[in-house]
Amino acid sequence: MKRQITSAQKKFLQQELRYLTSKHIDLANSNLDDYYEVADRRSNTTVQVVLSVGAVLIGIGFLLFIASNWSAISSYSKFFIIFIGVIAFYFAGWKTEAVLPKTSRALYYLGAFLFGSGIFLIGQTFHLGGDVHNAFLFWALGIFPLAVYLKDQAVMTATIFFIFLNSTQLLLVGEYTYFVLIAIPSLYLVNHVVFQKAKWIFVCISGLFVFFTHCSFIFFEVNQFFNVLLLFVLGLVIYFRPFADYKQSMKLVGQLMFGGYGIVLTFPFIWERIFSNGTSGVLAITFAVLFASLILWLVREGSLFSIFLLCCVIFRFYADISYDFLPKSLFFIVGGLILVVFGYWFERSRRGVA
Amino acid sequence: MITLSIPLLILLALLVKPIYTSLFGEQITLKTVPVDPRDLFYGDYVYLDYEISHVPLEYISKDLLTLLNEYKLEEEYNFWGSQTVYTSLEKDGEVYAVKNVSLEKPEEGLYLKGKVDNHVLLYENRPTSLYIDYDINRFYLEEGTGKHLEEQATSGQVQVGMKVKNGYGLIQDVTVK
Repeated sequence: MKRQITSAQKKFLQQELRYLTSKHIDLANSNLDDYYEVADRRSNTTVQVVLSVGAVLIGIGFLLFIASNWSAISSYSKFFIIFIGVIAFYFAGWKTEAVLPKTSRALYYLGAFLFGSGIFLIGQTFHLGGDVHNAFLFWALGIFPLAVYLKDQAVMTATIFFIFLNSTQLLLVGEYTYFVLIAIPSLYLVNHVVFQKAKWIFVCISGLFVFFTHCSFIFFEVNQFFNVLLLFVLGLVIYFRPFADYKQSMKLVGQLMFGGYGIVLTFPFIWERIFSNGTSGVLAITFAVLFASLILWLVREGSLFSIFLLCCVIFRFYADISYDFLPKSLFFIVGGLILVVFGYWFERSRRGVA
Repeated sequence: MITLSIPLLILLALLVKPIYTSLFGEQITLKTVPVDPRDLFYGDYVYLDYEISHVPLEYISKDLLTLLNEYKLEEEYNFWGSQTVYTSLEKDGEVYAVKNVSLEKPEEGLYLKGKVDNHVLLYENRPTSLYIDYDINRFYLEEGTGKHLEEQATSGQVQVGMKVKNGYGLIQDVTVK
């Protein structure tokens, strides 16, 4: 009878058997310790964390030093120090890649922070308007090659976050960020090719995509009802028809989309953008019933996130209905009890699924 | 190599316009009234609000007025977004003042490129003047020194020395008259 193993375990066995066969190793008379060593992942992770946190703290120190605008050194001297500093940190990072990989990574992070400091220093030196949106765009462009070179998810996440900060000018300044239209598909492509379809990066890019799409609809004055409805439907499509290579990631993104926008659609105010007050109330309730039915069906299918979503919908109605007529203390006590029950249900379901 | 070159090129590229304006721009002086806030990334600065930012409608060109009227809905203006405008300047005593504001870039003379945004119109039923943002509102100072300039400015007039080239303004200094 064949032994049951996972596909990852099978792949590992095939790889190691090929290695052992190539070395002509007699497994029957050999000690595995002669050929394998267990890596201490815990200490490796600790070292990486300590170095990364250290690099971030020093980087924040650079930014604060620039912000203090210390007049003892001229601005041009500060720029020169930063310019040389970026070269030095990147060079040091490159030189120590093979010998001290974790320290090398921290040095690269320092170079990236120093580069960001340089951007803000230029703005400060020439009293430029203080448009942080463009500053974050330049920071993203500058560290993106580093993210690709190192295949570093932390730097890539920072790149995506800075592009997100740049895109907020859509709402805050009223200027359209056409760059993001090119950036989003490019980021997806890079994630596919360079980051081996990393789930976390995919989710981050998708978050940026959803935010940018939502804000674009606001910018072009699309009725908010259609904005929310479209993104809700898109969430359903992504969840039920994910690409094979991104099944898990797309299901997660789809759940977050249809979950979040679905809850918004249970409120009458969004339907009032199109329909009259009376009709909106009926439509919102009808939608809520259908939405809850969909979630219950997903819960039956074994979706853990759907339990959380169902709890959100129930709590949303509890808060909406009870807040005005219940004494406040009772509202909070009952609300807290409901959340405790939900947590208990969720944990039991998780243990059952695990 | 590319990994290092790109951030260095970005830093150098950001210097080009300010340095070019600083070297070849025309020196002008503008009147302001400041406030003293702080920016998380850029540090302490004095916020400069210019006389040339508050433009009476009589200085606005017909094409710009027509555009603003397109956004009028009953008694309110519903302009969302940002519109680029060009403010022509002329000398008025020691300082420079507004000559004209239009949608087209002037072919000659000194001018500043600015933006009119939705905040201008949303809170007024009928605008009597236009607020134009030239992105020259900040003068950065060493940490802890902004209040001093603000206190000086409330007792007198603050003037800003600036270099202007092709519609781009670069603050050189701030003086209390």
